[in-house]
Amino acid sequence: MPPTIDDSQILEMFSHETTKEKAFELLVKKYKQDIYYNVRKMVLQHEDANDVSQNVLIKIWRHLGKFRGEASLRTWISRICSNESLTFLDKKKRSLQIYEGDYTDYREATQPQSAGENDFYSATKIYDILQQAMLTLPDKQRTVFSLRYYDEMPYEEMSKVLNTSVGALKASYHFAAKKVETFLKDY
Amino acid sequence: MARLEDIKKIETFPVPDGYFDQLEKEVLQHVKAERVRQKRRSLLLYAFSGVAAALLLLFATTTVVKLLRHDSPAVVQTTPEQENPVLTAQLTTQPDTDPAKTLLTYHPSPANEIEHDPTQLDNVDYQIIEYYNDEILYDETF
Repeated sequence: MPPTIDDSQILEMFSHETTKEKAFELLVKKYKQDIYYNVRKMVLQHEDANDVSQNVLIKIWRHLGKFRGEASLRTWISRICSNESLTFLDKKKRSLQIYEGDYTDYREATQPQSAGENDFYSATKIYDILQQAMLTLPDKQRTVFSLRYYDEMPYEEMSKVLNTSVGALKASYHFAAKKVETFLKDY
Repeated sequence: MARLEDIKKIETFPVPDGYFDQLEKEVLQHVKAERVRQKRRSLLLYAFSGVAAALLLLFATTTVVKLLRHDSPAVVQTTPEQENPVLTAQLTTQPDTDPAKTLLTYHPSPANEIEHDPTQLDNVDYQIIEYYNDEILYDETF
């Protein structure tokens, strides 16, 4: 169970040179799981999620001093997770020369060679099918779906994270959920 | 097939044992190393700034001293002629005065010895005008 230290205490400690590292340690303990799962829902593979999570935490270390407190710390961290995940996916697609919409090839290119080779990728059938369903979604729509479906993030907060209007997010989630349900019906 | 609402309840992303502790350890190590690198860079920057400031100060001091020496009246920049201890007497005649009288004008000289031709000294008014850079320091007519 992560420690229940208040975000304002973390920020206060981080602002002093002598307690900066300790503050960051407390932040990592508090948010590491949330960060990992936020990222994992986007990038799907554990190894990729590990790399991106580390990048997110290092980015937090470098920029927390500039955090202005306009949104909550959790929202700010979610935004970094989202941006880093999307950046990672763009790079990966470019390196695999995969174009928007060609998600079957993307999955085939990144899937383990045989079933069970990577236990953490296809632990359950449902997990595997849901991953397939999410892969059919465009990147931003997948982000909206993840944040709403898994994190149950309010649209107002999501609007700050993704810099998109609440109306657009509601519409995006509605279409994403319909696509996933249609995909699941076939199984 | 399970509905979307039911799938949510299933843990769909299993994680290796001890992974989160490992993630924390790696990130904190990275941050520590970055802080050490940053401190080293800061120290180098301070050292470099200190040396640059010292050199600038030395240059400024040298320049100011040079300027002060140049302007000081106690420091006379003399030409080779002026350093010659023998006065160079320049004979000039004033058109509106007695042509027999010759005004001797002595140009600035650091020395006091005067070498002159006695035959030239009869009926001569002496006017000693001591100049320094066109400024009259001493004026005596006798």
